[in-house]
Amino acid sequence: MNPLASAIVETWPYVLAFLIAAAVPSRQGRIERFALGLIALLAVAFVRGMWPGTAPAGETSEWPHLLNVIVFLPLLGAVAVMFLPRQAPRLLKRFSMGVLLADFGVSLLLLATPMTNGWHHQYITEWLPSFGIRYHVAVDGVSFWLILLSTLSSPLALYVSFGAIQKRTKELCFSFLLLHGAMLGAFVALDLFLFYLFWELMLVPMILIIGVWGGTEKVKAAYKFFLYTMAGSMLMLAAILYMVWSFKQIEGYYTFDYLALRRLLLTDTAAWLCFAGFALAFLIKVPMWPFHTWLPDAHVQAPTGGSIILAAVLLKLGTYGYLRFCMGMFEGPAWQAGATLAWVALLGGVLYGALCAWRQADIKRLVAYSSVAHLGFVMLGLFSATQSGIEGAILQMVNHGISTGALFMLVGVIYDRRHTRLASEYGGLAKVMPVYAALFVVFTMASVGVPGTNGFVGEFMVIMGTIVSQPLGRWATSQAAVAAFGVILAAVYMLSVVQKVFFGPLDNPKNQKLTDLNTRETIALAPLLLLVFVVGLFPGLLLDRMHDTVTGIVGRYVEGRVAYQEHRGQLETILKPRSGDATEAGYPEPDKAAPADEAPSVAARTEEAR
Amino acid sequence: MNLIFALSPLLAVGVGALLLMLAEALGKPVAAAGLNSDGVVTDAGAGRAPELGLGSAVVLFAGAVLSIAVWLVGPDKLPGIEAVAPYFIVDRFSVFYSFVLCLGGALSCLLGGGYLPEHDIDRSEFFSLVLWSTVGAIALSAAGDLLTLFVGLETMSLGVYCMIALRRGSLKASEGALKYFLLGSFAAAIQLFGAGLLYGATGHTDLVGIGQAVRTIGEAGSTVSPTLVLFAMVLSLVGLAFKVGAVPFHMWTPDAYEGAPTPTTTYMAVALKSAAFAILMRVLVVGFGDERLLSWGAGWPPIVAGLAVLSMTVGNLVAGRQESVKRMLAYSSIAHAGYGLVGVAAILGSEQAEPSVSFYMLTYTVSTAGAFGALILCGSRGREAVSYEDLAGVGRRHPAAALAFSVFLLSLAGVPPLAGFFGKLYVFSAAVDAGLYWLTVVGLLNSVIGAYYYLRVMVYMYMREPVAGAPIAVPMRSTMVNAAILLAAAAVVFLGIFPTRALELAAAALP
Amino acid sequence: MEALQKIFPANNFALLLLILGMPLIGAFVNGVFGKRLGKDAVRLMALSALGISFVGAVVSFLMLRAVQHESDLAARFVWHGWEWIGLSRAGEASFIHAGAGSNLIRLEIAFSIDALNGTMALIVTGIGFLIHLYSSSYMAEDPGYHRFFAYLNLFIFSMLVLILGDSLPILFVGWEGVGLCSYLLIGFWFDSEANARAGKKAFIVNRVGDFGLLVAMALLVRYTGALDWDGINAGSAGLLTEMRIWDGQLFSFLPDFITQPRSVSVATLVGLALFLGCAGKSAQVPLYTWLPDAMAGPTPVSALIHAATMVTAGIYLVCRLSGVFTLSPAAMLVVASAGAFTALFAASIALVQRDIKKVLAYSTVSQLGYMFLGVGVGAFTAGFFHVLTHAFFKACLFLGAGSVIHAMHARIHDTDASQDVNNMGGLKKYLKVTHATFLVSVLAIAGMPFTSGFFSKDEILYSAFTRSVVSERAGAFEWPSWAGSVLFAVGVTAAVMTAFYMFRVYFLTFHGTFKGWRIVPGWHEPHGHHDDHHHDHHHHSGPIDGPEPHESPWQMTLPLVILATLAAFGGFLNAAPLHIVPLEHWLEPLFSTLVEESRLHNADPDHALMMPLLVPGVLAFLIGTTVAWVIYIKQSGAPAKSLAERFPALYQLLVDKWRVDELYDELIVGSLEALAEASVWFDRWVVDGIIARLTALLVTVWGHLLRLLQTGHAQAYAAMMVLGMGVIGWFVAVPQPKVIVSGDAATGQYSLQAAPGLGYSYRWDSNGDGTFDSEDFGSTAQVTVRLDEGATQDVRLEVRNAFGRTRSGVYQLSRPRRDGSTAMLGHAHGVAGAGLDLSLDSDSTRGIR
Repeated sequence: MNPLASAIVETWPYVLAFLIAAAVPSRQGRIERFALGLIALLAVAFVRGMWPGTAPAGETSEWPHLLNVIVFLPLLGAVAVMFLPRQAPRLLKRFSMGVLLADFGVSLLLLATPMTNGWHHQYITEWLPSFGIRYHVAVDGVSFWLILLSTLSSPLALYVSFGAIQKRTKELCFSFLLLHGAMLGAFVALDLFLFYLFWELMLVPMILIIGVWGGTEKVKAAYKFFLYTMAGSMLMLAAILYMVWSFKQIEGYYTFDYLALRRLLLTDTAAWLCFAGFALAFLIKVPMWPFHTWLPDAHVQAPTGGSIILAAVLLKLGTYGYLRFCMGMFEGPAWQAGATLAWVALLGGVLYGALCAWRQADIKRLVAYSSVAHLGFVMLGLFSATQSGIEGAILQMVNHGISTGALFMLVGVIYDRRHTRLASEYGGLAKVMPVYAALFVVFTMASVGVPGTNGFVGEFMVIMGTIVSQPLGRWATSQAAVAAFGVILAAVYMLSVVQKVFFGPLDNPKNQKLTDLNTRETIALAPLLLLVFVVGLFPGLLLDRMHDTVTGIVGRYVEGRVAYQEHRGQLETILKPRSGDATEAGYPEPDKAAPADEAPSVAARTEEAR
Repeated sequence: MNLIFALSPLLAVGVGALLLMLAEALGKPVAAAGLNSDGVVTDAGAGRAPELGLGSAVVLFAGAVLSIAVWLVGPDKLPGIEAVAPYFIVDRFSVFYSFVLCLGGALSCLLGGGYLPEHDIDRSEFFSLVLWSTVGAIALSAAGDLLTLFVGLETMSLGVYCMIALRRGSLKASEGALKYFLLGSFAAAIQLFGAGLLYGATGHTDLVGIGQAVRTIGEAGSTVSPTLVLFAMVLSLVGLAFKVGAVPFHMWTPDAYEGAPTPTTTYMAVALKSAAFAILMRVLVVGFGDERLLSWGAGWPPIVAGLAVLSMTVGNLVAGRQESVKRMLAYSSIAHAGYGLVGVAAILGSEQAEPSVSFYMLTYTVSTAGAFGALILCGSRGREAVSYEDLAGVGRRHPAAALAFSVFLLSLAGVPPLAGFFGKLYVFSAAVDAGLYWLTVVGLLNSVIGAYYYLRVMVYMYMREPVAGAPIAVPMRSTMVNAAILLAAAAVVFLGIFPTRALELAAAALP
Repeated sequence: MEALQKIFPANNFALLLLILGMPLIGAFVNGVFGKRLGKDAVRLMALSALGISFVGAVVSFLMLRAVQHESDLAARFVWHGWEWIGLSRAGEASFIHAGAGSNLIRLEIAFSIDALNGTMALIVTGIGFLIHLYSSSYMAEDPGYHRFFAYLNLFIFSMLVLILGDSLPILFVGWEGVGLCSYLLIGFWFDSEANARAGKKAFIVNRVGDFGLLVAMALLVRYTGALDWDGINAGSAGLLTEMRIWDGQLFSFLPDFITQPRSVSVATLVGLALFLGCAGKSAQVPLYTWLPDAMAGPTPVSALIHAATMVTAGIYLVCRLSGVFTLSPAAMLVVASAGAFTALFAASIALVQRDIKKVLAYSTVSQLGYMFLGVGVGAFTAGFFHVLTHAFFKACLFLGAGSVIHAMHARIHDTDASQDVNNMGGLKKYLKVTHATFLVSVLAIAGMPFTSGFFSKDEILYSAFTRSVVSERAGAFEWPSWAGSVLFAVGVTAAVMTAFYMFRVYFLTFHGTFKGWRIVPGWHEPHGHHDDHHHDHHHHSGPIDGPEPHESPWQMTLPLVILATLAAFGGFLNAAPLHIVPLEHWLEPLFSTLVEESRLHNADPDHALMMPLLVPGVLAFLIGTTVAWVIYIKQSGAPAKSLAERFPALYQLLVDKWRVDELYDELIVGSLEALAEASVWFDRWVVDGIIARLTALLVTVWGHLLRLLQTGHAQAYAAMMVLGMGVIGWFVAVPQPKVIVSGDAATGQYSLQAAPGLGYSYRWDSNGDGTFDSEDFGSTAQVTVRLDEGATQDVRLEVRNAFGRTRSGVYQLSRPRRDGSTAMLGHAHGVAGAGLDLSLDSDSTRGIR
């Protein structure tokens, strides 16, 4: 057919989407119409581009520096912000939004890579040879989606913050950029030292965000967040040091590299202690009962933007860390602990979190507790260690980022207007803020997990993965049932708050004059709204890209567990044989690694002293 | 000739001190004596602090540069040094420390140059005292003989006693100085007694000789009495632990640190500690390096480990309860002495123990000097920032100072990627290497407690607004202080991101 | 026809997209742009959407018929969309370990249409269209017009997804979708607290059912390895495995009738779990309580969702999964008896309700009970037939009631008052059409011979008596012999009640004298007409004046007429007694493929009992009707009052619906709330208290204590130094018998290295016999010990130091047994290929030691 016709055939979905979305806003607003149209167009492009099977076959050439750009763009941006005049807030805002959007754009390039098993866009360079510390970053099907989640939610969060926060813009931009870079770094780091570095680096900007722009109890919340995380990560550092040392005992050279250290088969006690060290750090971050109490405080006190980042990305570092490091390096202990921890995730997270959420007067606190419940699902999926369980968990991480992030955004909307988050202050808002109410209900349904929305797919896969899980042993069935029961409670607490806030008579005179969503809020919410349905209807878009990786993870998990069983009871630490599969690319070879230590031995030292 | 070159850092500082004293004595006073607004007696010969500070800083930097030069040439390539051995040992270890000491002294001098005039204690002898004390410190870190050890120790201390009492009008200062003096002489006496016993037991005053003599114990026909050696070990340990500021020999620290003018505090915190650690390690490794003393049984490592645990825990716990930032930093310096001692204890089984301590001292020097500098910068005449309240809202009023302060505190708290973190990492990995897992865990948990009060300062600077009517600290303006801070900050960040070279140097510097 | 079959081949039946898509588009357009488009456009959009998909449904129905005529096999058209999700199979870890990788259960977005859901689709779209038409005038005055039609279209879409979905998860999508729409529509007039609460209640109670559905899906995934209809039936054999539901070992201290483990076939569990879902959606005991409250929604909604379509989804699911249900006679008996009980129970409540919609609501619950009774005894066609007829007459009744309420709203705007039958009466001369259609439907539901209700209900009763479900497996649960007769008796009793209360309502509404207001011909509203139907707190004191109640416009009456016609003659779709059974022929092929004949037992194969068993049904109709006539026409309600006065307690109990709602509030909601309160308290005071506050407190207190040491007195400082020196000296003076153990469990060689010390000398007791190897102290700082597996031995070391003091320490060596791990190893390799269950080995559930 002739080019024109073919062009039309090619482009009509985009045009249609653009036009429909642009027609949606009822009031005049060119920017709004255009932005919405653009977002819809991008969504269509995403669906068509990511459709399973359309991915470029075979190995496409990967640009090794892509991850470096993604990670260091925001970090350099943060440095640059330091040198921008604080008297020019507009410039600061534009600049940092520009950086974040550019970062998002760059991260979209990742979509071009078929996420086959193994590492992609791997970049390795020696950093501190004498310590065997390398700058080693790479992405696989797991971190891939979390990176996109971060690069998407950070700009939204910052954009929202600009609406609410006017004071000390410079520090705000600086913190956001630094935080963003650190989070991305933590997602791609494959060198334990590098990971730890980014992990700690996230703390400072986050406490600034909570403590500077937070609510009345902000300082307390900041301390709590900082100390909880610090306590966890210190034990993790101890575990890392022990593993590095015992690796050196065997191989004779230092390395902090994940690929090398995961070969360690420590003695029983050591394995359990190191596992505990890592697990504690991650479970505190997730957070899992009983280490969750920092979360509600942090969420309630943090400004809207901070809550969004915290919920959407920061918590995911805990779940991601557990999947990557605890399950990747301590298969045996993780396997055995999983059966117990799954109960903790269910009773302490899914049920207990939901019950607590139900009784919260403060809407934001309620959403915070709902995060505890949702992440209980995620952890359950990880513990089940089945293909669908883990895929569901990863999907649920993304979903939680989308729906909970959106809910925090929405809570922020009324908070900005009324400066209270008490549900009792509201009622019948659906009359004055219909659009707002509609969106809130949609995201509630997503968070409750109504089929057709993203929330359902994740929870469903987790439950289905749980019941067939072997690590969970004979309790798998009952655990699946309990998890399913959590679905009821979710409806209970979310619908109660929806009813309190939006339905019933509009009796509070302060609410009579509330205005509906403004342009900024609409634009910030639109992409999340689309994602709710895109992910809900076409989860394949995401699952397809993580499939191979997860298969590899499950395989290594099972094998590693068997190896652990064989090694049990031995007094000496040994190394598992090199698997030699794609995930070992970039293994730190001895000749590459620096000699252990320039220092002569104790004996030699005393000799020369004579 | 190459002997002179080998000793050049020491000589440079000494000669510089002399010249400075001359310059000060011959030059005529700028301002007359009198009372200043606060009724504090000002001194004749005031007003020269800036240029004197600059001068002494230059001298000390020269010393640092010369140390680098000596290092590059390599002490082992300088045959002349046998002449002064074993009294004064020129090896990579001592050269490394002379560099650290000169750096710390130089930073203190820069701070002094800005601080003293601002606070009406424009006493130019401060600088010559710093220089002399540094001479003592260098000698101490290079001492290979009990006599030079003692001489260096006293030279270093005497200067500091005066520097503390510099502010004549202030009771706190005199009290601190007096306490330090009394206890210091007590400790020195203990140290000296230990030296005597050692000599009696082994017939040697040089550490190497002592070391060999101790090794002969148990061999047939050995006349060395183990009991005496053990007593001597305990006494010397106590004497040096006092200078290190380890619990329970730390009591003087808070009072002296708080009473002293901040530059003095800086100097004590960085130079004294480094020198003390240097000589502590040299004595323990060379003098008591015998494997029966380097043992987990009745040797010194368990003792040092115990001191480390006490110092870290007590330092951190009490620091958290302080209301004065200066006092908090004093206690934190105790805690850091604890971290350093972890490294010393790791000599037990790790080859990177001494290097880790040396590197730790380097990072600690820059971070602490910077922190005190930022504290100085945050206060001005009559409005010296001492308590947390004074710092409320600095983050908004003076972002640069707040930022610098935060960087140094984070480095002290051990947040990557700053120098302090690498220091801790190195020390603790040495401890793990030596099999001291419990010590590592204790240390790491301690740094969580530590993080709390460092964070507290940031909280006040960024998240609190000053109480209405409360005196707010107006940041002072001084090029020299700024320079010092910039220098320290650069070092902190650089050592944090590219520590490799420094690590290698430290690793090569062994007692 | 051929042409159509070419365009829409059976395996890629894109026509379904049209049927499904139109309502969705309608919902989107009305929801987003409706406000701007205006009411006419909204009406046009909604009606055309429904109309088109109705046409689509008709076309595909005809195509199905054509195919089934050619071959007597069940015809089925499928449309495959895209792959949705993949699920792990049971035993994944094992076959990964065996190198087989993980092959997932692929779920795809696919829709299919066959005899069963083809018929459903006709009802949904057809009756849906009529009710849309009705609403277009009924809601004309409502400000939320566009919102209403958006919801309504969305509901039709979800309902179609529910019935057309080709797998359980897709059905679940629609299942929750309709729940959501009913939530939105019940709370449509959300600014009254009660409506919002009713909506919430409906959603949450349905969620309880959905919980059952989720569990059922999980079990199916694990035991059949499939979730699409074909796959489930194919793998249903796996459901016969016994499953341990109670493991006594946990409570070994209890008496052994508790501790003995019990197990039940998975099929039963699945059946019960599925039925929980059905009970939630179709308002059966114990989850029926939401439906009466749901009447808070606009009347057309009650007609469409809560009578004709959504509530019958449960029956559809049972029919659809009849292959699974019939595997477990126990589950089927539960279904049947729950249905029978519900029929009776709800009918009893309906006897005394005064709100016309409430009566209809409870009658709906009761009729749904009949349907479950039907499918429960294995008469799937009968049950499904009742779905059809009930859809006709109940929709007609609701719409009629709506028309009555519409008329009442001329003067009475209070919801409750306008729906109270005691305010009506004598309406038959004002609302002629409404009256006629209402009467027809009442006759149908009461079961007057040759009306639709008669045929469907009596076939159910007949099957209840004769049919039962059996299992070919030995030792499986069997129905008691008396089950059939009991079910039949209950059914008949409920039928009597049905006839009675329906006629009661009919008489009270249309006969007697009008009690709403004093009728003044040509009366006009003094102050302009209210257009807010729902809530308006006028308290009518005394009789008021008003116009003649007026008949509704044609958009409302036309649907009434059509539905009444269907209610009257729809019975001949499956008039078993007259041997006119097109529906049975239509569905027969499908059910015969789903269910093996052997599982269904029919006590009366040659229909000998059919005619005799009609008699009780007819009698029930006559008795109920006559009694109602006597009480409410002949004696105009006097006996009713006297009865109520005679048994006030019973009467009140019935009026209060047996107080089940209160019971639930106390029992379930109450306890849950208490639990929630408790956990909030626990969270604040225990979890946070211990982990955060207590730690902080400890640090603070210690800080303070240590700070006290800093007295400021130099002598105290010096004293402290001396003290420290003393402690160190003491440590040095005391011998330290410390030992470093190294060794290898494999060889059993353990060597002990004593820590060296200046002037130390040692003596050992290496064989643990209590006496030292050599009495005098020597310089041997190391001994080696050999242990065999599992052996444990003490080694004693005594040290003497330079000060001549001695001290000794004892060290216990033990060599671990490795059989635990080695056994595991053998186990692992041995059975790996054969699907090793890694979950079975000892430690996998032990957790952290």
